[in-house]
Amino acid sequence: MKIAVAAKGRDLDSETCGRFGFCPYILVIDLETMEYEAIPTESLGKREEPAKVLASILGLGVEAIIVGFMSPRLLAPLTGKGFDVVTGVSGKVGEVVEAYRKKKLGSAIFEIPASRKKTRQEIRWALRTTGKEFLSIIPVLVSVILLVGLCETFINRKFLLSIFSGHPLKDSFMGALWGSILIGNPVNSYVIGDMLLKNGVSLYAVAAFLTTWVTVGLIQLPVEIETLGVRFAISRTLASIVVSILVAIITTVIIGAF
Amino acid sequence: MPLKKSRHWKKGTKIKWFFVFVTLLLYGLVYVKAPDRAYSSLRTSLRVLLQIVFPIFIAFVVKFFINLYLSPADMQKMLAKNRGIRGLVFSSFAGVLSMGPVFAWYPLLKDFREKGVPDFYLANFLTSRAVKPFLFPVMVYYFGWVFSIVLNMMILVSSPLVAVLTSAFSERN
Repeated sequence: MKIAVAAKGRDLDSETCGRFGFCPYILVIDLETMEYEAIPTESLGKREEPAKVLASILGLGVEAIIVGFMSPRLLAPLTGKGFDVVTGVSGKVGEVVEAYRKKKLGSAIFEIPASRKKTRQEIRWALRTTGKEFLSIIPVLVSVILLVGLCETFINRKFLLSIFSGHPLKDSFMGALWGSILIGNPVNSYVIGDMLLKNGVSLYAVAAFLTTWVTVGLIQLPVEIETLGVRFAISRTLASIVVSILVAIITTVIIGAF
Repeated sequence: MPLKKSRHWKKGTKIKWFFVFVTLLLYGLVYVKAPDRAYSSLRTSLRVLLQIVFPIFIAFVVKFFINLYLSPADMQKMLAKNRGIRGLVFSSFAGVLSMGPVFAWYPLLKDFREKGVPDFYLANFLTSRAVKPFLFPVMVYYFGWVFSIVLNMMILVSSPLVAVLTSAFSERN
């Protein structure tokens, strides 16, 4: 069986590498013979394209990958496909491989140290990841803000209050229902929730709306069913709606006490 | 093996841009029928947009530090290895700090499930994701300290209840 270990150096005495995509070498090791080949990561693909590097490694007939950290986006296509991916390891490559052979990986000696000084690369990575995450929410956030502008102009208070009457249970239910249907970054729900409050909609409705926006996703339900099973997904969704209504009512009662 | 972004990811991106398109289309229609009201809506939107810039900046800074000091690998470890009260606390913590859209986590959760992680912890993880520490400044800006703290605490406290109900009805039980 061949395994790949992300490493800082070219041999078994070198340290394993922390973040996949930033590792200078990949050591492809045959577990039966312990023969290995050190492949410079640059030769497999660009640093900005870790998926390409991963695809090249898998193309070498590797069945397991050992690395300090791999992003969920890279991990996702591998899970459930018979590949073994071990993350959260550190130490010398030889020791890690030996631990893997003995099925001992995960013991405390291989855990990543809790705190250490961050490298410039890691700071850059965090900055880039955060930037990408925020850039990705901008189109929908701006659209939601534009729609809020339209709602403020066209939808009058009377109409909103005909849907949200102020009854704790009814309002919480309606808020929970809308929050379950709509999806997107929670910031969008804050903008809409604020608009609803300003138009006199009760806090019961807004609290339920904010809670189900993030806990329930009726549009994402098919994906949850596909991956975690029908009963898990349906029971979690229904439980989340019911509990969100309770959360909204209790939160509003507590706020009322202040 | 193809290592492209998942179809759910692509579908999400398509829906996102379709939403943007529909919004612009609506504005176009309003502009044709009632230009004054379109300008009025735009002015309102601009006011809301300017108000949100500072809280979003604070959220960016908080998220940067979360990304820098906590990797998804740490969260995977928390979720995969702990049981009992420790498991409950760790799955909540992992959920609160987990990043990205939820469908990015589904394959991993499926894998954990197949490896025997009880449904309780998976459901608790998914519900705890509702608490977003990096967006807390934005929430406070809109709804105030008291509401934001109470609602987030209530979500966190109620997550195990959702988890109990889910695991009671899911197929493995």
